[in-house]
Amino acid sequence: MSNKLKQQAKFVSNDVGFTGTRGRWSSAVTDILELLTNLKYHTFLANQEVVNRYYRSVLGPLWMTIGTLTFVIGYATLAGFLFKLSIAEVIGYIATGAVFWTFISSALTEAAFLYPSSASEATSDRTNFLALSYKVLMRNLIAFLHAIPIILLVVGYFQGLTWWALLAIPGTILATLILLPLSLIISILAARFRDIGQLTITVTQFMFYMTPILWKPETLGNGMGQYIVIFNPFYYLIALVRDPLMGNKPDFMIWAVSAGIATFGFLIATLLYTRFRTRIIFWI
Amino acid sequence: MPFLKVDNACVSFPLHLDDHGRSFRVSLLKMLGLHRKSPARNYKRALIDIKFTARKGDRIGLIGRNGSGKTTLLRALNGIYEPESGRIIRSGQQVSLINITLGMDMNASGINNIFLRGLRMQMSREQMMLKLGDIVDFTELGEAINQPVRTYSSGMVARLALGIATAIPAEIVLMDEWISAGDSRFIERAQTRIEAYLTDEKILVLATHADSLIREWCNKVVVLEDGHMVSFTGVDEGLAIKEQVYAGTYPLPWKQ
Repeated sequence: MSNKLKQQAKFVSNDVGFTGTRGRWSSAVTDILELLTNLKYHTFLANQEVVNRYYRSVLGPLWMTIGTLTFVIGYATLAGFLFKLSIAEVIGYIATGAVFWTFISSALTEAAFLYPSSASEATSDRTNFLALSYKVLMRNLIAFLHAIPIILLVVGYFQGLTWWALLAIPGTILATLILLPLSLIISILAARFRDIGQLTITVTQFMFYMTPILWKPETLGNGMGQYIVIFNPFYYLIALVRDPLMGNKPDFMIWAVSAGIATFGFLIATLLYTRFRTRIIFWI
Repeated sequence: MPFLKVDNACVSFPLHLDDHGRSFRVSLLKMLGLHRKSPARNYKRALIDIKFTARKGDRIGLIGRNGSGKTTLLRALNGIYEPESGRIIRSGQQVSLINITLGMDMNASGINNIFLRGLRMQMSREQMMLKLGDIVDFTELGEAINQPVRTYSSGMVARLALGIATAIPAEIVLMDEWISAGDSRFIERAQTRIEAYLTDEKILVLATHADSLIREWCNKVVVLEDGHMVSFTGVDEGLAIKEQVYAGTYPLPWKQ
């Protein structure tokens, strides 16, 4: 592309649905407005996808929870023998963390392959890539919500619930607000650089062990080990939902850092999306 | 009143995505300052300075060889590709019939798919209820309308898709080749239905290789060659120009 063309591209761009000239970001703005006005429709589609995935299955989305819970029961039993812990003491903690982690990791790994797998749809009709990302996140959130009753049963039975547990609701919302820009960033980068998709899988697997899910942050001692937790964004994500369910009083630090991560994430995601929205179709 | 204006629109496809020099590893090293500058970006110019205006009642046929830019232009009009320079200005509700089975839920019943498509087009349930009888009658699916779409034959799916697509109000209609639909009897019914759908209030843009379709449905023709627009004329003139372009006797300014 010649320099003259590039210059032109900077000042003149196309227009979707309206007359007049707008900037290059117009397409991204169209997507944001479309998502906001049709939020119900996109959420409905997400739910439809959950329903379809478990079509004619009796237990449906509960299978995801069952999968995680069998792992938790197995691990808690082993840990009881290996580390001389009482199962009752740790099972609620591990179950909550592991089930919520399933939500995080499947949302992120699905985001990594989202745009290339939507190529045929995206070349048949103008596609709102932002709404696609939203839909995948919602689908995983809905699957997670199906697991809530089981978590409540496990925690309630083994250690009892307090009113603090209600804070898990805003906790889940804030965690979702962190995951939305994060999955959007991953989707965009992974569409351009296919290695990012594989990297996402590797990193999420690695972070499962580095994040306090199977262990508690206190066990790291007061030394350098604490940094593993402090600089780990996933710790805050998990804590937002797990701490209230464990009956802990809200920790200001966790909410403040989470709000910070969300803001930063939205900033980066907005920049990336407005800059590259029109390029994505050529990458997939 | 529908209106479609293509103003010197250009679209280029990047060809450098698979280059080793622009891989993730090299980009990362470059960011860290460990790698020298990567090779230049490389583009294929798929549409070059396309310029035409369509108003109410215009039925534009896009013709040209394979790879001349018909589908790319159609996708640019749709908003799938955005021109990197120039503009496409559009006013009016636009519907793409490039792939009419798009967004169909194979596990949902025919009825539910009608509502699903309505939701997609931002129509209310009440609005869809009004169209329901007409769509169901046209598809002639009978009891099968309540069965999941995955149990349908491909002809039944085509009937349902066409029934739904032509019930949604639109002012600008985009089509890539003609909609294929079932047995000979149904083709006739489809013809009548599409005729009723494409009123003079609308703009149609149809990309096709078939001269007969152009003669039957279009009143204007855009001839494309190598991503350039050769002409924007009436049907007979346009088809004649196309023949000359294919024969290599038509003067193409960018080739001189």
